[in-house]
Amino acid sequence: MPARPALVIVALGLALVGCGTATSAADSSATVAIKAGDSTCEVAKTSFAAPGTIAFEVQNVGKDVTEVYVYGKGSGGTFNKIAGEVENIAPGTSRAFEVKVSGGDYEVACKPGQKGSGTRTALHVTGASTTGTSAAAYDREVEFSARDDSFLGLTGLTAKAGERIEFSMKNTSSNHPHEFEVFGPDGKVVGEIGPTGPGTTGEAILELTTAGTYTYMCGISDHASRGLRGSFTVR
Amino acid sequence: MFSVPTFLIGLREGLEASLVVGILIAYLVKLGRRDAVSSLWVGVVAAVVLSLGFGAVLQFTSANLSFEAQERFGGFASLVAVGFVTWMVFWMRRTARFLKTELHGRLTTALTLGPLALALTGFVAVGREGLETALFLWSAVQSTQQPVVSTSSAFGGLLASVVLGYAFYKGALNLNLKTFFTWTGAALVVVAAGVCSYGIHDLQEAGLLPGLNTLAFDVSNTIAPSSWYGTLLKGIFNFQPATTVLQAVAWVAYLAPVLWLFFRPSRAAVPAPTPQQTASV
Repeated sequence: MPARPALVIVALGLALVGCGTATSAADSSATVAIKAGDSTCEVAKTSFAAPGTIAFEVQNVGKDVTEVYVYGKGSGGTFNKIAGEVENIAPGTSRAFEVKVSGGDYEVACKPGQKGSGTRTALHVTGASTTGTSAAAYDREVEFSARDDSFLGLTGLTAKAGERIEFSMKNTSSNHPHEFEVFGPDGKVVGEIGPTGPGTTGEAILELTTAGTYTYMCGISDHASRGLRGSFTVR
Repeated sequence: MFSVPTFLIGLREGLEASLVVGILIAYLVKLGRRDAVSSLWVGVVAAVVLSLGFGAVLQFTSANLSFEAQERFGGFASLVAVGFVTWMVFWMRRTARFLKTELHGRLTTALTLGPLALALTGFVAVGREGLETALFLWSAVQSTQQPVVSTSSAFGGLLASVVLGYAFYKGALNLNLKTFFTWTGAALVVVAAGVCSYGIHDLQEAGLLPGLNTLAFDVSNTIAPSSWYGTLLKGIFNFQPATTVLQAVAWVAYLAPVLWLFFRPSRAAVPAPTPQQTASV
């Protein structure tokens, strides 16, 4: 008799667990160590060259239980929007967590005793900033690749005004880095995926606020004139 | 050597599930349905095994669960657990009335909601915090600094929670029937209200619900979350020293009507609401 409930339960459990997205640890960037003590919070790296996923490994070197949060700017400009967290780190143990960041400022908070606002350390991520309340949210993802003579996968791209798109560029070139700069209808820079090495993937979240024709190009050397350029329409 | 903070986390994470399972088993035993207890255990064991297994995958491989996914899981699983436990409480309240009036044989029919429902209740009661607890346990095992201390303290805390759940179960069995059904049921409702509030907070952290930074009160300087009393308050009532407004509202919105329904004089199994007539069945 108990066999059937057991099966249903396993299925239910898997379904619940399936809600989560299991992603592999960040391949390009190394793990960033955080040493969290009873009154200290040492973050091994506080400046990041590009948006993406940062893998943290928190070691509790204190005597009290601790938790670590990464905050982005919430409404009102204070750092209170959770970008990632790990709780229940017992003394002498380590816990890992990942945080997806776009360009901008963040704060790491170690909270010994799991209370209060914690010991804060500022983080800065270079790259396209997403203004507004949600630091890491975007409406959809656009994946494309960059060869030495063209961007592939952007033909026919259109977007709605106000849409926030995460552009993900895989550089399929064998030996040249490429970047992806986007200019709005007024010719001003909207944002960019910074220089991305051969075989790697770069990401940026861009908010396309106004309607019109946007242009994009690779700003490295003479790549744009070799064909790494194009445009798309925002309605 | 022993790590008190680590012990207290283990105690906190395990306490509420132990209490719920302890009360449910006591109920079944009181109803003379020891045979149904095994169904409950199926759910409990399945939740423990799944949590430990999935936690091990996350801790020992490069696989990662985003914090939003983990919070969403914790949040929704908590709300599902509240649903099951509430439903269980009212089912038992109804069943308990048979005890007074009906022959024992009729109980078997009353229990037809059967093994699956019991197993699922055991599963969600334990599983909702299972993953977080498993991650905590595995990180203790994996500790490079003091693996023995961390592991023994963490497991010691969990064990203590099980002992407390068992003590509650034993103590509850000594109560007379009427007192037992009234107070253990009410206790379950109060625990479920805490789980509900906790689930809301998880969903706020995941960004699915607003108001994470709008606190109703913050007494974390008076009642430290890592103190023994903070641990017990959190473990039993899910009391969070820094509680958001939405959490407080959810707690009251659940507790008030459900307790009212629970303590309302039981009426005969007639659907039409005629409270005056049947006030003292």
